[in-house]
Amino acid sequence: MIELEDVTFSYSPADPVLDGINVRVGKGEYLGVMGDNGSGKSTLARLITGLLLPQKGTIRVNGISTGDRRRLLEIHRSAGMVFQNPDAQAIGETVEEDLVFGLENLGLPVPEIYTRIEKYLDLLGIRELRYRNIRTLSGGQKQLVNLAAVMVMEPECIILDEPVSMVDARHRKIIFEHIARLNREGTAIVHITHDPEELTRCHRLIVLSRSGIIHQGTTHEVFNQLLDEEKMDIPVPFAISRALGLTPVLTTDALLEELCRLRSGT
Amino acid sequence: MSIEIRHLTHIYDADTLEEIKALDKIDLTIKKGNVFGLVGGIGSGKSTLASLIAGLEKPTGGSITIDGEPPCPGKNVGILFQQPEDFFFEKTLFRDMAFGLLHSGLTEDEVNKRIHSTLDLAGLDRKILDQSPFHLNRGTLRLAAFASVLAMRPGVIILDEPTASLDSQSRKRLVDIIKRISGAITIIYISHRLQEVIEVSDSLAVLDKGNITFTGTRPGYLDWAAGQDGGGYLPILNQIMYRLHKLDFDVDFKVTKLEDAVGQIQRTLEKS
Repeated sequence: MIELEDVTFSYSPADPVLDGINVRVGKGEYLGVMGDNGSGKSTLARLITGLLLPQKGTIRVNGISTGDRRRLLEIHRSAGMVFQNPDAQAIGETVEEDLVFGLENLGLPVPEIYTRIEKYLDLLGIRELRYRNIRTLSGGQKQLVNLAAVMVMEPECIILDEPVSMVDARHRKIIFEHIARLNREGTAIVHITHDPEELTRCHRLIVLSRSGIIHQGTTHEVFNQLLDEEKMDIPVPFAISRALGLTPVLTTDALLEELCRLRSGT
Repeated sequence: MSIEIRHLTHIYDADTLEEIKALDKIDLTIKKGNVFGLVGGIGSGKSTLASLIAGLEKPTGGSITIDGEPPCPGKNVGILFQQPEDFFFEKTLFRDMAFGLLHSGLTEDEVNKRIHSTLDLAGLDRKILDQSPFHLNRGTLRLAAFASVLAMRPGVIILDEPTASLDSQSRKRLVDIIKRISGAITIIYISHRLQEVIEVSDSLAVLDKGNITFTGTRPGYLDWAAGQDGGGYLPILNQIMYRLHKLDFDVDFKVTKLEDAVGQIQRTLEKS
């Protein structure tokens, strides 16, 4: 689905943000990306969607090189991106107009457009925002609208760059359950965040540092390494289970289940 | 400076179909030098309240006073906006930081001194002042934006999701600055990171659909949050401990450190 081969990118020539990195995301795969501020996470997202071009190496989305500018629209149709800054994305004046815009461009029939809009506003629990002016929304509300705007397009791959940094716990739960469902149904996900609790459903994780990938592996492998290093946050259930000498688990439900089992001695 | 909020109401697009009552007759007193945490779901009215206290909008009803005076942005109150690093636009960080100060009537010499002293207070290297903001990472820029607000020397500072999109090191640095300046400056701290709000705040309020549903101190907050459905207002560590407590594990859900939580769980398991 997404292939980065030996990709180097720098904003100023002597100081590459990414230096010769290789990343592959298969169809239906869920990749988590962590790393400190300035490690190149958002740059990676912009490279995948063709907003930036690498100085070296190639990036292909569904086999199409991002360097092939005539086919950029095809790339944008198969890989939708949710930006970090909630103000960077909105196009329409009202929420509905914003969602209609992309779907009209896809050439969908009008009834299908409105069916999809209703479906995703309901799924994200923001039906009441439908006719609101985007300008009057809070940061968290805008982030939800941006997610809806990408989800309605039903792309094969969704790239999330700190998608819910201003969203409350209740909506976060709804969003991540829905993203996990899309992923189970075959949508590839690239999820960039500083919050490890968001990444418990990933198949694989990579950790970027200035210039390269410093950790990669399954979610369990990488969180184990991060816990040993004590530099980055890891999910609380994972930290507790490992401190208790148990097989580490990623979610609260799994932790509680294991502790109850231990207590009853079964 | 202390803040008095009385019967504060704010309605957007009044008397139209789109009318939204963002705040509904709110009363709050925020003590001088306190860190006041503000928690609530999306659309609960947090950002509206922030913008009214910051003096950026006039409330449609009720009043806000800061030491008896109305809010005046850049004078008695300053705000660190969400994602403030996106507002940097000058060639050097120094010029960005100096922008507001020069417009407030200070001499160039005074501006220099202010910028240097607040940068020191924020624990930032003075060398970054000559760099382009476009070459600095988000964590550094966020701290610099915070320093810019501090440099105006307001009595009240509002921080709106100040740690969103920051790595753990930058988050810690920002929280450290807050701990250093609290007491001298009244701080309103808005964040969805419950662990952090609880850690820094002297007292807290919860907003829900424009109404205040809780005000009080940290321990009171945890008790209140435990009573809410699903414990969604509890930080994750307390959520886990609360659910264990409900499952008859002998643990204290108000624990603040992971090590203590692990110790308590271990003891319960050993006993059984």
